[in-house]
Amino acid sequence: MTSSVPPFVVFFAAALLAAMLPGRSRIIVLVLAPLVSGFQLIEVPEGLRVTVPVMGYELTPYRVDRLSLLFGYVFNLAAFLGIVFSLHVRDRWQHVAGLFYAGSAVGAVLAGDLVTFFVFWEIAAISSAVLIWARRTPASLAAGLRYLVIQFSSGLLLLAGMLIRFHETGSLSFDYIGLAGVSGWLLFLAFGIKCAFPLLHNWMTDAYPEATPTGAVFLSAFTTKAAVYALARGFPGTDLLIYIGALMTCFPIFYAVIENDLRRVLSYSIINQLGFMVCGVGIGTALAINGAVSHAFSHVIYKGLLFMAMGAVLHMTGKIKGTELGGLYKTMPITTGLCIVGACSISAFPLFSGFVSKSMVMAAALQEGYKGIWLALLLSSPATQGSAFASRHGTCCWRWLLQPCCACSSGSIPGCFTACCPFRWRIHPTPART
Amino acid sequence: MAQERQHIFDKPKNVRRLLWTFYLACALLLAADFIYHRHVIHDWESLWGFYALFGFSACVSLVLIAKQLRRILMRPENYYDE
Repeated sequence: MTSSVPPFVVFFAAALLAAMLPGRSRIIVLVLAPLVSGFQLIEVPEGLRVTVPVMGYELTPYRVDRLSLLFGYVFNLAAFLGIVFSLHVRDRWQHVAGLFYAGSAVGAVLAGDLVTFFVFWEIAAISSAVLIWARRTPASLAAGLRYLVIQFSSGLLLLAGMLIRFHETGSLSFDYIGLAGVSGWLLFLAFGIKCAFPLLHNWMTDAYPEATPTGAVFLSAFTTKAAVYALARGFPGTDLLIYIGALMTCFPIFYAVIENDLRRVLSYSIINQLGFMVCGVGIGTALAINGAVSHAFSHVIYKGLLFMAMGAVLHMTGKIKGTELGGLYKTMPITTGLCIVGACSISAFPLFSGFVSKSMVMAAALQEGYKGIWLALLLSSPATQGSAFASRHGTCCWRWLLQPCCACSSGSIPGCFTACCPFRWRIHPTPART
Repeated sequence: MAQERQHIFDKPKNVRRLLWTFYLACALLLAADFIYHRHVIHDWESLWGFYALFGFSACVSLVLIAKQLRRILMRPENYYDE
């Protein structure tokens, strides 16, 4: 009965409530919002479409299929984890913005038409900028403004692409788009900006490290993964994405090794991880797209963990530069342990989540005969570990030793995983290649 | 607190132990390539020690290239003087 109420309604209502309620009752609303909307998503029947006529046009604010449902699940999970992490913060605006941001991300992936998608795309841009400004330093004010300008330019491209597409095809529905014509390229670019394509990525490494310790956890989850969803929906099997994705996996690791601000290191590694997803979407086989979506799923979780760990460090010490920190395992042993778990996962260490999902994309690349791409992905996997570990421990030996050890094993087990996991299960409604 | 508590990695012996564990793990994984039968998609994967050697050379070159890149990319901490 209630399942036809879109989850974003729950989040937005909770956000409005949170804007008014004091202390304790606000916390209850905050925690309940993702739980209620999550249970709603679990109950909702697959294939549901809610259409609303608006000014003579048929809009679809709520469309449920496997692809949107999976992203809906993980966004709810990320919202819940991020909210619990931010409960100690006594800042109403961060809580309200966080709920709006999570709600608009969930709304975007469940949107069945481009107009609804565009609206959520923009709400996400504004509410996420608030999470950067909420740090209330001059640097974060400036970075948030630069961030917002770029987010809005992505929104403008989306709007222009949408209008031209509507003019050409007469349809506003958000399904396969493809790179045909001006509208396709405009939409591709709009998604590309938010997905941090090479040379369009600077906004992320600029703004994410300036966000509040808790805000960065939200930021790491939603915007870019919504963009991956948009690419998976609109451009599966686009060859160009394979090469863009491979480039994205490789170039940030060099920057990450050099960078000193630990949250900026993490931002670079977001780009690296997004590269795997973009590459998987580009390859476009069922295995590759399943891999891309699984990787988005696991990435949201372990990247959230890493940003939480860094947020905790920043919160406790007030420092985030690698050179100013050291020996944190003495004072923050639990955080250290959890951070190592996150680092293992992001670098695809066997038996951690990143290993499973990265292997799917890499196996798909090899199956389709993209040898060079496979080598690039293989190169960047252990290298991520380098940046993840090196920046935290400073001792060279760790990274030099662990990487070969990880690389050595990372290729050997995908076979078993593909055998025992339901990877043939098709997430995407229309895989471009089978 | 008159006496600083001794932590596990304050003793160089423990650091050495940890390192040797890693050395050993690497050696064992490399040695496993002699007996381990891998289900491969591409021929390169069945070359002896491919993953280990590729991973090692990839990481070494990453560090060396990044070292050179530092000259071009690195700026002092307060370059934009916040």
